Amino acid sequence: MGDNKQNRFEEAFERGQKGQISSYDAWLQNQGVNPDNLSHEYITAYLQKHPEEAPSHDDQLEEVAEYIGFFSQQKGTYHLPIIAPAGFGKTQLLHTINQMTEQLNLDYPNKYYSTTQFVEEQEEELGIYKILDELEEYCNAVVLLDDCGQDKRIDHSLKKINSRVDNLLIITSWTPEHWALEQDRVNDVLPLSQVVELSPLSEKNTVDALKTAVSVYSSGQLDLPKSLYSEIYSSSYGIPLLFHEILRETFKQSFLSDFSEVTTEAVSTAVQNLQLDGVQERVYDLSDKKLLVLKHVLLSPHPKGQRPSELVEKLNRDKSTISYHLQSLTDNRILEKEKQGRSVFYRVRDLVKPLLQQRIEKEGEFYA
Amino acid sequence: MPSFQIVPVPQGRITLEGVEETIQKLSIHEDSSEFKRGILPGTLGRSEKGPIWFKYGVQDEMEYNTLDGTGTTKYLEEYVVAFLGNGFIAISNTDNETKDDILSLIKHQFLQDISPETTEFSEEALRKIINDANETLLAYLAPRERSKPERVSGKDRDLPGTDFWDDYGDEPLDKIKVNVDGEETEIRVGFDKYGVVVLYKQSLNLSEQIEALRILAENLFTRLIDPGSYQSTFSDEEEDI
Repeated sequence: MGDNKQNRFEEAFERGQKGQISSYDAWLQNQGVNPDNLSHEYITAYLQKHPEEAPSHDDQLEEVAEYIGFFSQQKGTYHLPIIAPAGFGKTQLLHTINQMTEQLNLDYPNKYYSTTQFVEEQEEELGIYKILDELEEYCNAVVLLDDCGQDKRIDHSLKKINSRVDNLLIITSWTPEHWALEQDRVNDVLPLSQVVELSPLSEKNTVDALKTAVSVYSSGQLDLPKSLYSEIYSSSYGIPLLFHEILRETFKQSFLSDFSEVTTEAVSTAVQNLQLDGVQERVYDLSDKKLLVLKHVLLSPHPKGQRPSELVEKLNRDKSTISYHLQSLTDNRILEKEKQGRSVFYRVRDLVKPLLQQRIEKEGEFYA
Repeated sequence: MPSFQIVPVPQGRITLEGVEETIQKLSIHEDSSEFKRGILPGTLGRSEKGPIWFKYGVQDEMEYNTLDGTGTTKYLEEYVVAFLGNGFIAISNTDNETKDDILSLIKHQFLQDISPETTEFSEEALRKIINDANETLLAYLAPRERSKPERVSGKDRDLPGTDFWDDYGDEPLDKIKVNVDGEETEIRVGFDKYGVVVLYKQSLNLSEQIEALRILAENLFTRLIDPGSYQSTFSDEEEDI
């Protein structure tokens, strides 16, 4: 018995020496991928530091650059809202604009803020006042303001920022539903100069972005077949949030399926595992009534989502109708629910959100 | 954040030129006590818009630990005294002993027959400030009803537009923070019922702090504080002041 255990130990040791061990981290290392790098946070931070390698929204970048050039000669107040569903790369685009404007060495500053900083607590004060005090120092500035839909007092914030800086080019980012909700109030305090809309990436740009991501994860050691990238493109519709997520899941599913390397066959398993199979059809088959429910869920100010009782009140429908729709949308993997105490919150699943927002935006439903 | 208390004095009684002359003659070094108190030489400042200020120093002792036991050292605390004009002096918010020292200095050097006191902000004054402010950013309230909490506070970019204000806005106020008009930009300032005025903008240097207080004195304190509310030891003589 003792010898048998020793033999098994030694065999395992020898397998380990050859890199044949059943750990995902070791499997990744064997592929040339640093496990610590294979995350949303890492690739986001990397691309924000290296904007030239980020997924390409070149037309929109040039559109904004022209305005920055115009502003440098013709002072005044200009507002460019960037509007796109979640996960299309708005934050990345703002960071790219910020870094590339920095390289121009203009004689006035460009500042990036997220509205989530506005409500942070800072020595008895809300964070927005620290930002306003900072901006007060400048006569001219380019301000990049992210996550505008998260600020419940965005009209107040924009009015205050405008009052602090004499000449202001402000570039804001919005999801379509929040822009539709707030645009009139925003236009009252800060007239609109031009709307910048982001689209999903083309297949070529998606493949390039995926190649970059694999190179970043593996420090340039790994390249994957083009067929794999194309397969991810068709399942992600060129939406950065989705193709990055599917890529990372494909690594995991390749390992779990006992493949010796990352393979195209694992993409469909990854898509299923992320519950993205048939997601476009599921979203486009939604009835008008369900879309109405989803619009309210998307606009919920609560980070955990919407409670059924709030929907009953907002939509003026009976409780059983709302419960039916919520259950059906949960079964259909559009919504997810979370219980907190006696309350249940429903929210749109993160990976479904871009497609849902895209559908509602295309149909002009937010404006109805 | 710099905080002050406001001392109303009879309008026209203290001329700013007179203040400058007196301050230049006085120095903490003339105090022969072990722990000196008095005006710090070289701290006199004056703005083109009128205010004059100086710093009042208080020496004290602190203990510190060394390998050989406890040592002591003297250190200096500095407090601002600013003559704002319009019948108001601002002094740094401090403990009662130092406040009494500063008030005594003001009395004996500039007023003689009147004992000045720091002012408090009544409920009515705090309500007036809120009504006139551009925005009310913070309020600490002390509800009276048994069914309500002992203390509540709300913070927003403009509290009176919120449900919180509907529920608690009429309760007694302890402390508020508001945005009021300045000359070039808004002043973010707090007031409490004990008379403490807090300037919230962190980057203000001393002359900017005093300019903000001058604007508050001119536009706000003159409307809030009865000009005759200073303490006088010779009340019959007030008519002649």
